[in-house]
Amino acid sequence: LKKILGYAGIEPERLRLEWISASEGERFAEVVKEFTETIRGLPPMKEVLR
Amino acid sequence: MKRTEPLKKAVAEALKELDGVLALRSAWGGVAPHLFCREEELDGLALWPKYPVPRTLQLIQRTHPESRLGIVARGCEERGLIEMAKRNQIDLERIRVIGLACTAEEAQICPCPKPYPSILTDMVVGERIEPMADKLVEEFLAKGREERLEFWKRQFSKCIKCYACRTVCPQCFCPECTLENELWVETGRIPPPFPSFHLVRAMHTVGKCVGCRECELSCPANIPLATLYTLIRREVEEMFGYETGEDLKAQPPLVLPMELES
Repeated sequence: LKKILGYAGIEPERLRLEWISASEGERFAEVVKEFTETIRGLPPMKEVLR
Repeated sequence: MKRTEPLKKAVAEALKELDGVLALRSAWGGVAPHLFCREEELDGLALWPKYPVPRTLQLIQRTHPESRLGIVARGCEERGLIEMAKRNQIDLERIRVIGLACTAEEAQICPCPKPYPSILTDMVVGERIEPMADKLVEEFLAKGREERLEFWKRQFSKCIKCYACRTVCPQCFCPECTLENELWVETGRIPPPFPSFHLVRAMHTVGKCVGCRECELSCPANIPLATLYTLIRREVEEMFGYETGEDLKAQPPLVLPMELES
């Protein structure tokens, strides 16, 4: 899917898949925080697609 | 054309043992699929422009499951038949393939990984030629991300949402199509929303698309769909080592068996 996004010209970083166990609460928070930052750093999709 | 006579002969020969042979016929100023049942009809046998005959064969088999049929198939059509058979869309046991190799000219109009059949039949009319490079794909790969996005935005804005790409595709046979599902693709919009409509379709070609280019050939807006699907096909080969339509026994990567052998 990431590859397809790349070919379509959409930043593949907008998609992230992680496996996190229910016991890894801290890791979950970290990943979400990280990903949120990544997404904030990219222009909004609305503008990209306009 | 050099191939027509030998092909007529091959079809006539096959007709002795079969109920009919599906091929193309020139009639009324056009070329269309036709089920040849008698040798006398073969005068009208045509080769080009190609047509998605595997789909036609599927329709005939559905209404006449007991029929024993032949089909004149090119490389792409053979690949299509193989992928369809893997998903129970046709019964290869009841089909005899009469192979037709594409000419260099045809393979240039329609570049593909293998312009001749070689798996379902030993009988191939015409000379094997090597596959031609797809220049559009190489040109596309040279583009950066933003350029790619602009390219597809422009291309997909031409879409009139006629669904020809889906309807003509030998690998599109879901009873309910996601492209018509409001959940995935906002309905009632032309051109259809980018990128959902076209990327949903692209995603659904994974492990199925055999590069026959029927989608692109049938597109009234001339959207270079095969460029996108070719890139995806290459990824599937690279990631899963799966080449569509090349091996009857190979398991398609995104299809999970209902029961695993214990």
